[in-house]
Amino acid sequence: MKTVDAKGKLCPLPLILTKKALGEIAEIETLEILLDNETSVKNVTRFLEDHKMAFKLTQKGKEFNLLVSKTGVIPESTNVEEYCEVELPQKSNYMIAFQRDVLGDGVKELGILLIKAFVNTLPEVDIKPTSLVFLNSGIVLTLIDSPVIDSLKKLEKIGVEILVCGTCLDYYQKKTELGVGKISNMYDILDRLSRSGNVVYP
Amino acid sequence: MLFIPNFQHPTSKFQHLHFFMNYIILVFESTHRVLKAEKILLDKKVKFDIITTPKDISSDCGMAIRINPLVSNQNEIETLLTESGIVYMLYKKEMQ
Repeated sequence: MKTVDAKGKLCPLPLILTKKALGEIAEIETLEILLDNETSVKNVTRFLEDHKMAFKLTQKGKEFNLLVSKTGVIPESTNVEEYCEVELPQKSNYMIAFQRDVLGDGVKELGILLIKAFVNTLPEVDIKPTSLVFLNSGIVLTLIDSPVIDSLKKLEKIGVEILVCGTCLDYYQKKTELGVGKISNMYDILDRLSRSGNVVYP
Repeated sequence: MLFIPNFQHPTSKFQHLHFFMNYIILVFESTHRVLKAEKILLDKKVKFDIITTPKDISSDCGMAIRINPLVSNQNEIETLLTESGIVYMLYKKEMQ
């Protein structure tokens, strides 16, 4: 049995070592991963789950032991760093309501460019919004072929809630093309808007 | 034509070798150029992101193109842009 000792190592190292080791072992083999903090366990198990790897987790004192069976495949292109949990460093008290597929008023071409940059920059801001809601033509940003789909998925993964107007998806006949977030209704959307300290309308 | 292959940012932040992969960041001299480049790449179905130009590269409110080398071929993109006479500067940014 192959063992990866990732004790004392910070993200993304445990993930990199895990991915590498899983690439090296045969399908019938078991991989043992040693970890010493809960964040690493959370990140590594999320990574394993997403790639359909069966595992058993045991804890002995401060040490965690993961026994992994190679039941899935990890594509070479997988970016393990996406599994590094980023704890929200400061309490966020704002949300963003996307009501259009552009940012601001003006020439549409520029508005589209700006909204892409806006969403793609969001994962890099220190204080993330609590929720994103998408209404009317704003819903196109959440569809499978959206140019900002990767950034939205990244935000959802670190805990930003994404609500998409169901009526709007229905009206534009895009329900089957939703690529991220939850289909939602006016009750939930108004609930979030009314609870939020600040709402940003791009 | 201004074309600087593998142009490295003068500040040290971008110079030392990293264990991690880097994004390729293409910076253009105007928003119109960004839009033109975007159109060329989209027509060829190349995957990339429009981002705000990272602060360490420029303090202007500029748009840039970010390429993930694990997803898209840098050489193909550079060839497409160069063939169309698009001027750009190339930077690398550590993936986060």
